[in-house]
Amino acid sequence: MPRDGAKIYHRPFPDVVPDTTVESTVYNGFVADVEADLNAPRPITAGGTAAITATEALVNLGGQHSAIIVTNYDSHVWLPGSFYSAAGATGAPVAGHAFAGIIYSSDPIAYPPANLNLIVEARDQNDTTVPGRLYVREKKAGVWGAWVEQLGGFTEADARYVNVAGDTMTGALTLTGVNNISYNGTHAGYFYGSPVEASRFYVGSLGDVWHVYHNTLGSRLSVDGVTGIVTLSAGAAVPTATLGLATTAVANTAYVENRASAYGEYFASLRVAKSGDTMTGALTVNGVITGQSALVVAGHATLGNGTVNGGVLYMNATNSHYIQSSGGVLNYNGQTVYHTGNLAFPASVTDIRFVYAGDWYYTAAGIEEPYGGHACVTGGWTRNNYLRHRYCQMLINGAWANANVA
Amino acid sequence: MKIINHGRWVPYKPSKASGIFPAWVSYFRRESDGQDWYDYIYREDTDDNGRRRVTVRDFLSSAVSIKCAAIFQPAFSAYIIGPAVADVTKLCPINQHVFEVTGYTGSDNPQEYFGGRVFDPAALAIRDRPPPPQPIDPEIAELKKTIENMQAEIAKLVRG
Repeated sequence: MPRDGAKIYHRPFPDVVPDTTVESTVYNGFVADVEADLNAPRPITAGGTAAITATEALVNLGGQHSAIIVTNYDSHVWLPGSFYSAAGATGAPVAGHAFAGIIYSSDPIAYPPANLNLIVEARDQNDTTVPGRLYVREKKAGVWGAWVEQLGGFTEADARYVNVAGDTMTGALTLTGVNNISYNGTHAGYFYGSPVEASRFYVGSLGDVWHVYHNTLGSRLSVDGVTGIVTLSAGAAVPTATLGLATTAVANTAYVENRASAYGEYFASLRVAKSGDTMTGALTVNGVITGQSALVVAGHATLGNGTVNGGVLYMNATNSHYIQSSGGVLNYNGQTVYHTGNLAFPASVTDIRFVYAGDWYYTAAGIEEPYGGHACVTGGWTRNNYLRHRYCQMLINGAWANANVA
Repeated sequence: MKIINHGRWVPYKPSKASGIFPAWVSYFRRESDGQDWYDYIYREDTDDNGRRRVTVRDFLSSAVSIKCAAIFQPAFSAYIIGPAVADVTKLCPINQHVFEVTGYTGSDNPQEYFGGRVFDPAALAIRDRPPPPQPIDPEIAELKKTIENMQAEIAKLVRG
């Protein structure tokens, strides 16, 4: 061999003595050694590539390939460098698309390559929205992962992610981490939303400790998520202070209980609902009910329900005038209605009148009712056989009706 | 003056009471078409508070028209005018003609002008009333009756 293990060429024979004949053995051996060296791959240390092929030489020199044609992404023997594949290559990121890309390798340089740890970047040459959309695939310890599509351009990024300069989210934002919100501004942050119950803010564990939200009863601050009690401070020096309905009184402890729901329900239970309700206690009106229709009962009004004689309807301030049913008889001031003194008539009668019917000329003795009996004689005795007649009219429902004959 | 004849009115008993009055009041209807008198002069509606009320119909409540009723008196063989009023509710036209006079420019007391005069429903005219027949002395009437009885007896005998 003309070269040692370090690829150093050594002369096969020592120098011959000057001005002497060279032995054939030495000459032939030298020529054969040179021939062998010239036909063997020249080592890199001697300015060669130590390879018998271009690919091997490229590998030996640590260079990267270019324009590698890939027809099967799964079985291709990858060498670092650039590649491309025509549409239809097996295992491409998008079937039917042509790709061009770069292959990275962290394997030691070897030929043939080990192909155990690779990263393949392939850019789609047929994507219609993002030019050269990037797909990445990684091989770790000899196992391929799946192609992963990479985000393409600002437009696509704006459609996917919230801008730090301000943006509007159309979907829900779920924060699962701890201490995942911090706000260092001068104002407190707030949440709002619709419908009711949509905005809710917890401090601490979900549904416990601090709990601020808005529901159908209005805004509520609930420090204790269970009882809704807010404790302001505790200690003997602070007097007890209660706001709202305190269900738990703690001596020498100032606390605010904000229970909007219980508060509203409690006061609602004290009042008669407009939509209809049942009172269990008495209704006392100390003021004056004014207006012609101030008190209207569409249905029946019952006085003294459950009693034998019924209730009493008082009609003056001293209760001296009243109407009452007694044993089935309607009483006024404790006596039957038709009792002397019960009925006070007006100074003049305004709902009964006698209107003029006519003057009838009677020609003979006898009985006549020229007006059908509906008019009566109201005049004095006849003068020249005339008698004056009048009708009796009653004012009923705002109109005058004529009295009938009986 | 223009005279509008509202027809002759007669008593009747309605099958059911009107919405205004109970059944026991006196009801009248027009002889020609059965029109109820109360429905003719009144209407039912509601006031501003939604309460039911009864008002007089406009066409009979004109302040300038005079409403009259006239009853037929055999003594004069004519319709003698009784009430002559502006307020139609004061009429009770049983067995009487009701007519309305527009354009009356007489005295403020139309009763004085129309009362006791004759109403001609055919000619829609108002005339003065003829003098009443002289009252018959009861003794003369008795004598006439006796003569009539004797004449009847004589007639029987003649036929006899």
